[in-house]
Amino acid sequence: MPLSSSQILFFSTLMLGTLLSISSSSWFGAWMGLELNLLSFIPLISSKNNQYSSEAALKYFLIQALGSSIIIMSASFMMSSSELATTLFTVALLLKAGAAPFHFWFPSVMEGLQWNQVIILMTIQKIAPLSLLSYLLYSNTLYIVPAAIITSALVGAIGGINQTFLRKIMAYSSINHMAWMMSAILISETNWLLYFSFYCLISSSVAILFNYQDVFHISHIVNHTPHSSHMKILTFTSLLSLGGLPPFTGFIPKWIIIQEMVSSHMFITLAILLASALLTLFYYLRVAMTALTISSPKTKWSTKSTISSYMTPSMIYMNIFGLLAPSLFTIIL
Amino acid sequence: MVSMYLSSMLFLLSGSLSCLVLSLLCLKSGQAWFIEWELLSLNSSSIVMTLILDWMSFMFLGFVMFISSMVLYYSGEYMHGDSNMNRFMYLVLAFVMSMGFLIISPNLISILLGWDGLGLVSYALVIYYQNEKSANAGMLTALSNRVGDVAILLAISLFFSCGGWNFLFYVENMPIIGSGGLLCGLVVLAAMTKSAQIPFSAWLPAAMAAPTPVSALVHSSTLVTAGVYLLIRFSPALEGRLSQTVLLLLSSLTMFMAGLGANFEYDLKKIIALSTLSQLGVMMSILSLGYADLAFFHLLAHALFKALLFMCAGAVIHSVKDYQDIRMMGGLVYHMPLTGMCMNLANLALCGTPFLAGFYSKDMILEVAFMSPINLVSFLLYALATGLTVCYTMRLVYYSLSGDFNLGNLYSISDEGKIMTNPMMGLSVGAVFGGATLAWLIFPCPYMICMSPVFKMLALIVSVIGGVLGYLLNLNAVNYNLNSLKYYNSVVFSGSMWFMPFLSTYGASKNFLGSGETYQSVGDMGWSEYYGGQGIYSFIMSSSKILQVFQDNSMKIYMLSFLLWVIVLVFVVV
Amino acid sequence: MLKFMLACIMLMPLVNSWWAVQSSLFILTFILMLYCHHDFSNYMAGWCFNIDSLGYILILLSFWITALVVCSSQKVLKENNYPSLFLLVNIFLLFFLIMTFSANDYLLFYISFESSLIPTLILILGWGYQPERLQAGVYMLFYTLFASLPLLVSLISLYNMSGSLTLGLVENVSGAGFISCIWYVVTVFAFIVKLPMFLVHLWLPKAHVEAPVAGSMILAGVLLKLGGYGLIRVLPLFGEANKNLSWLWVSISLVGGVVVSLMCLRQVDMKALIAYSSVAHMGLVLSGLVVFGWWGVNGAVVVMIGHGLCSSGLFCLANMVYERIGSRSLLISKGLMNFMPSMALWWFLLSAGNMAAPPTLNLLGEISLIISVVSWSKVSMLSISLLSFFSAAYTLYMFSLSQHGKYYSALFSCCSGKVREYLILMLHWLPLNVLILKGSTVMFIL
Repeated sequence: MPLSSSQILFFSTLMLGTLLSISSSSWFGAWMGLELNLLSFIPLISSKNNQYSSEAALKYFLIQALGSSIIIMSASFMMSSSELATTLFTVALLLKAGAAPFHFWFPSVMEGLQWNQVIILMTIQKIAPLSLLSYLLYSNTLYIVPAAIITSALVGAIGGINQTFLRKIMAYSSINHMAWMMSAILISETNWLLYFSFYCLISSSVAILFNYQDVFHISHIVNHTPHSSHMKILTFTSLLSLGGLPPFTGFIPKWIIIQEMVSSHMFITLAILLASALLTLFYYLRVAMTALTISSPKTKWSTKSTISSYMTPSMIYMNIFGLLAPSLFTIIL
Repeated sequence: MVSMYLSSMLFLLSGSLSCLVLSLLCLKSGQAWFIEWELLSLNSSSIVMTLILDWMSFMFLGFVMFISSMVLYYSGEYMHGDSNMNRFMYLVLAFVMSMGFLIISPNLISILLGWDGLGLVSYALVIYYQNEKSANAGMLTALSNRVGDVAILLAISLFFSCGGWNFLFYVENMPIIGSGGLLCGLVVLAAMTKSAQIPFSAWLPAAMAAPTPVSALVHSSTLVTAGVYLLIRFSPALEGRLSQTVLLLLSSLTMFMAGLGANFEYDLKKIIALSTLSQLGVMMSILSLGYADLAFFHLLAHALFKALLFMCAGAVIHSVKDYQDIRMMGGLVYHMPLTGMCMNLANLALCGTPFLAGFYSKDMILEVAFMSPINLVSFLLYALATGLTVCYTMRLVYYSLSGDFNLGNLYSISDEGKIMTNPMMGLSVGAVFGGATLAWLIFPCPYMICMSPVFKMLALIVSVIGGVLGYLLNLNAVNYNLNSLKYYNSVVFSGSMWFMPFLSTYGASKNFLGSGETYQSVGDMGWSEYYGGQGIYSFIMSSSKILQVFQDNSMKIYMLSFLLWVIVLVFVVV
Repeated sequence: MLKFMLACIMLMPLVNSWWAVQSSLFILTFILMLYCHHDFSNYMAGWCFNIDSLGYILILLSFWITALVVCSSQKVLKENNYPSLFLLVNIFLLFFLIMTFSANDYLLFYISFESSLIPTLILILGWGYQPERLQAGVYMLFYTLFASLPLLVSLISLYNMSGSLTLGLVENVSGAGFISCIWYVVTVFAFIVKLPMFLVHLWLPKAHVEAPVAGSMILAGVLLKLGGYGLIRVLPLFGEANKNLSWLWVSISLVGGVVVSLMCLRQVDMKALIAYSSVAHMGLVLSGLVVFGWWGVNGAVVVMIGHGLCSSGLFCLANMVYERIGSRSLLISKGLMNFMPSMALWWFLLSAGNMAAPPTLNLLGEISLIISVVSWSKVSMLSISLLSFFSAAYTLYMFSLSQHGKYYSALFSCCSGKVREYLILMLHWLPLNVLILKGSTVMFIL
């Protein structure tokens, strides 16, 4: 799908908004960046002219506008009561990031998006709120963030179990990963950065795969995969990697977070996070099941999906050989 | 091409001869060889495979090989035409090998090679015929024997405190072990299962489902004597222990029970099996009185004539169209005189008729037992069992050999088959001379028997009374109304081995199989699933459904709820 | 050890040629056998891999079983059921197993321990038979993961405490306070589920029943032994906590072993029966391990090897029956002795191995285990005797029901064993019965 010129424009303003908000020195600047980001995402969502995308755009706009208004409101409290201001900031940013208990919009917005936009929503749109959240943590915020970690972990895990739509599953998985990211934020910025970059890599690889296969529902996967064993290996590798199973890349950030959490004695939160990771793995596995059952029914109408030649090795690289990454990170960080 | 039965007969016969010669050599020179193979050594106690080669093991080995060579030769005709004859031969050879290992290893661990081997091979032999009866009998046999294996395994674990398992070294000073009593109890338990003493007697008659040559070898003279042999080796440790007393009572009861049961039995093979059981009781009881050498003597002598008796029974069964009921026989002495002669010989030896094989051992055992300070119960049981032996022997003779042939009008009974009669002749020689020879060899200086004339004559008196009763009762049995129905309860009780077959099959399996099902349905498919996979799954599913309800609300409610949170937080913070 | 890992990696491009992989696996096994001689307890050391006699014997077992797995899964090749992918998965599994058994570091051990799950899962889901295999795979994955994620936390805590996770350099967790006990339970639970102990064994019968022959063989042969291996590696760290809590594991596994044996008597599915019998055997292994006597640990190793060979062989036999009759039910596949008389011998020999009859390794190991457990407490004699008795009962039940009686009347075309099948069974049985001649070769010590 070639990008139109307007999409390029909006995409660059979207990035600009993110950059603006994370690099601004005042809450006003941050708010401005967030608004710019929001306003340029709306046309990107509704680039497909159908009911679902416009509904999603509308919902997204309403929620984000609410969040932004709270931000600009609490920015004005900053002078009088910084405690109240930071509390409201935290809540508003959690809403914008889509963390539980303010996650309700997230799955339903996801439902109306194309896979490309799903990737943007899962990765780029998280950067600004989460980094702003990380700036806030110098202050006492009433255990809001730890509470949000626990609820996000549980909601992300339990909410996704009964879903059959892949985008909703990705939405819940994103909520669950948000719990991990917020606990990383609680520990240190480096950890958050690390986890977030791995998360972006893996979740976008899953979304790209779904995009290539043009699937939106679990049952679609059955129709599409029989011919290509590459596709099968890729699908379950990336999904299990998203779940954080050991030999795959997804395990690395989890390992690091676990290690840091153990060092800072956050055992209760860690236990909840681990339990939720198991549940998310369960629904990933459900999606991957059709790929794992190697021999599946072949139907006449099952379409043969094509996949570009560089795709297989690069995806496998992303999802398996990330295990070699720790040595790399010790050099960089 | 030499057929398998011939080649194995020759092989075993030569083995037997050399073993007997070596045994005589050892007996004369008092030498014994002791060979060890270390399997592993850990914390300074080592598991070794031990072989002991002394006169006792050589002699037992010689007898086993002699009998088995005769049996294998015999089965050349008995099993003729069976499509799996070679399998049969191999199984019997495997059996002889296990028996050999059992005989020559005085180590509690390495004896398992023979001990378990006997159990498993005899299982394979009992289920040789493809029918349900033999499958069940095989299961009973194998599992009864398994009780003994388990007892030995546990005994091994207790023996650990000695630092080695060569029980030959430790039997003399067993009290040094803390749990010596328990250990002896376990060994006695093991021996009782192999030798089918009272709680475990059911398997021996059931094992008669095996082909008759197998019964001749396995369930009369070798397998069942394994327990006796183990205890012979172990006997010094049993001195003055509780297990010895218990063994005396149980073995005397076995002797009596089997003798009584044989008088009510109509299956030819089962009568002989019960008589084996009774003789095993004799061996065990004299062993528990402390006379291991007498037990060994009786073991060897009994092996000779009991194998002969089984062979004759096999020949009879073979020629009367595979019927085993003695009421279908009769008058066989006219049709197969040679077999009849052998059968009579074996029977008389069994009763302890003077100067036949059984006389030397059995008479001596009885006299020694009467001389020892035993309690009244055991004494009475001894006397009664001796009488009952003659009684059922006379009954057997009455039904099978004398009178008219009762099965059908058309029959072709003969003992023309040389392959079957030749080994009988071989064993007959043993049944005649075996006792005397063994008595001269094993007891160079005679036992001193000193008792009153009444006691001296007691064995003879009860035998004669038993014989007369046996003949007369069965003469009277031919009547218009069945007398046994008048005493139905007691007849059933005595005739069914005191309900032991029922108790050890239905009685045991009912509870265990039932609880197996309960555990399966309540445990594995019930609570384990409820607190495991399925329970967690349904819990998560239901909570996911609840979460979905919240998810289905409208955008307005989300935003309102968010604002509510904000207001609450404002109040909380401010 | 790297040379064998590299050899495994180099096998991966060969997967298109079944015979090349097959013969290379056997050759690698024989080469590995040459390394049994060594003069220091840890040898073949490299960057973060080394082996001792325990690791060596288990790696050898993994090679052996994998070679036999490939040999017995000829049906995959014949039906062209993705044979190269099948080989690839098996080689991956072997690779991870080598890594697990030779890892010098607890975390590397953990990672490879977990990694071996995924090829197993693919084997079960990819080449299994019934649709229920999905549930079986999920059970296996989640029971194992549920217990092993806490293990990761515990290992990292160990790292925080002692600054290293290298085997032998980790500090012991001293004391038997509340924290130490929780720590201990969290650490051993992963291995206890993997073994599996009674009450957390539900995944095992399901996985075995649904897995293809390759999955069952490797699962029974090697993967269960990962649990025992892990316990041997972590138990020394928790001396006192283990001493205080071992009664729990011993009682559950011994009583559970009896219960499982009783359940075995009610199974009609051959593979379920063999799987349940593994639970019973592993219960004894677990109690020998947590008692943590020298005899118990060594007995556990011997039983692990013996059981690996024996139950793998039994699964192989069950599969041979399944390939001919199309059912694993003992009610349908019975009377096999009538048309497979020679196979009946193998049934008998391997059944004898399963009930720990002499001269199998199982007997040697079970004797050591019984010695160790009875020395620990005489009360355990009761359960042990029942366990041992019923192990014979259900094995004979299986043997007699499958070999004896009338064969299924709907059976119309069938053949007796093939040379390949006899070879596989021979190669299972031979080490099982020959290795006992020098029992110390399969022990921890050497």
